[in-house]
Amino acid sequence: MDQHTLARVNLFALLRCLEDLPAVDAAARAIAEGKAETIQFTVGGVGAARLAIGGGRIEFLPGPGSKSIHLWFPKAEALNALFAGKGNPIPLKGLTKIAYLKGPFTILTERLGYYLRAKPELLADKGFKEANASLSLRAAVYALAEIGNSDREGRLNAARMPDGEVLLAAKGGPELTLESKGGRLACRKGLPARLRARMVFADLDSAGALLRGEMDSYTAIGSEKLELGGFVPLLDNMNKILGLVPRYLN
Amino acid sequence: MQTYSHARSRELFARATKVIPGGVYGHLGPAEGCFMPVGAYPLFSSRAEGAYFWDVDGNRFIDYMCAYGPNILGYGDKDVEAAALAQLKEGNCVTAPSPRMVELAELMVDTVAMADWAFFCKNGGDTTMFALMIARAATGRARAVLTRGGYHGVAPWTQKEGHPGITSADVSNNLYVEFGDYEALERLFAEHHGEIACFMATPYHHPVFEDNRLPPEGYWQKVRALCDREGVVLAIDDVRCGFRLDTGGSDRHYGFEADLECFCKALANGWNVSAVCGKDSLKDAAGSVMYTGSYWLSAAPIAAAIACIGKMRELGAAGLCMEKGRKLTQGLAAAGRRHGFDLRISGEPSMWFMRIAGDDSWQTHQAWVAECVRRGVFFTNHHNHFINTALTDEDIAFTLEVADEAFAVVAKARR
Repeated sequence: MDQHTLARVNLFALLRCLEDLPAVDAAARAIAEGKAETIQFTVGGVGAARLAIGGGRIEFLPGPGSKSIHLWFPKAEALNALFAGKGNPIPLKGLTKIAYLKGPFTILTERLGYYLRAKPELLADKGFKEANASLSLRAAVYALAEIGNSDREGRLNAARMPDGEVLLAAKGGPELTLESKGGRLACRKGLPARLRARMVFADLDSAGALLRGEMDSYTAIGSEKLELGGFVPLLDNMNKILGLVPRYLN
Repeated sequence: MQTYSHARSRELFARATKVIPGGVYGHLGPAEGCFMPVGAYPLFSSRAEGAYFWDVDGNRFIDYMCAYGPNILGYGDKDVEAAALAQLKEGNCVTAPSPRMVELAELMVDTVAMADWAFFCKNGGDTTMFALMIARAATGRARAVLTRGGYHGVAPWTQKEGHPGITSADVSNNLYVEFGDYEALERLFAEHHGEIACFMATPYHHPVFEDNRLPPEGYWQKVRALCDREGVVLAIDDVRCGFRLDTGGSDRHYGFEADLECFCKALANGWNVSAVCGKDSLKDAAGSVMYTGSYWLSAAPIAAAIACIGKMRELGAAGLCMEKGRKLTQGLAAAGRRHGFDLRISGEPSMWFMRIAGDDSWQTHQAWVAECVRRGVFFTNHHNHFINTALTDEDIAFTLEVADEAFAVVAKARR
């Protein structure tokens, strides 16, 4: 696996999912309502991103900036090790706040893992199942953009995507827009300003089933659990990148 | 006009997904077939006859995909079926081939203008792969020049790097050029002088998703001369066009002669046989390549091809398909205009491509096609269509009535 792309997925896709955790998880909500901290993650050769926690919300901010805690990872592998539970960052700022990292921040990442790596017995709970589907869809779409911009095969397919905005959504769930421009991909929340193609799940259950691997995409399309429409060259090449997502998120 | 529903198709699809990857895979399936929205389309057929097929819910469709090309004389053409069934009684897949094989080769040499010999396989992809191997065997070179967006089957070398299952090594010998750009082709040949085994292209450019393009005036004649000068084999993939432009081969239609020409689709009106035809100069190379398959010499499809070619010649099938296609497409464009839509027709009339202009997201086009399918006219969204000789003036009139109503529905939704 391409460690650089994996680090981008971890940094810009998985951390970004924390934004939506308070909406589904009480523990995350409590942390978001607690002490305000801004944590910056800087990864050598990859980039930086920040999480602003406080005021009842978690905000993901790409790029460096003001922060109260600064964590440094010399290279992609170091960040990936942290996400695999096998490594630790080097704190550059906020040395006195190690307790926050070991406490509230660790709880946040564990809660995210709890929803994304769903144990089968938990899926019997409707609320959990919806949270799993919603967060998994966000993680997949955020990761899609990173993989399209970084992974070798991803870049080949992104380069084949014409310019335009694709709606990726689940009815009753998240609405995300993937923008392709000059072979580069970017993802944002909300509806496209000018929709050129769409990939919309009939409901969150269908999205969850596909993302958990319980249903394949062709079956989803044929059984109308996943509706595709619009400018097919956008969808066709995007789907090739989507096919790479499990390599990084699993 | 009443619209169709597809309850049994859905039930069958649900069963299929349990035991078949994708339920219905490939170009006949809802994903690759761009069924948008899927709910408008039938997923399984129960029978077919002439220009029609009936789905498992009993709905009749005028079929403008013709099984993506094979149906040229009408489904179940009695002469072709009789020939195949008679051969089945005598023997089909046998240790020694039937005399029908020799008869079909003789008939193809007599029918296809460029052909000095014929070699039989099963699918179109078998023939393009073989053509490439012959060119390599004959020239001792590795590279193939292909046109961007050209379709030559699903073998790894015909696909794109980065697609599932395709490695960079699979496509490492491919060079690409725009169809119809002679100067670019000439430059590519110069840059790779002595490396190129073959230039493979369709007679005209009929990719999915974009307007189809006819060859510019004099293009093929210049390409022919260039290939001769550079010692490059000119291989024409006539799998899709073959017999719909000219019964003597699509190279003849455009006034040149290919070195190798690949046929499938309309060759046997739906029976499974394909063929590569070639010039004498490549006969030894063709014979030298180890290339075969379990069912390639089965006699019943070969007997069907003999009957099909005979009937296509007798009817002047290509001319008939062109004429019907012209009438139909003119009517479709006129129906669009009546409702304020600019339906652009491209390619050859016997296998035209269409799209609604000014529809950047293609959603209007997809909505219109879906309304046609719901009313019994089977179009598909972004692939060229096909005409067969069984299509009647009444069928065309009905199609235009449906198209008109479908445009009205889409226009109303747009307001």
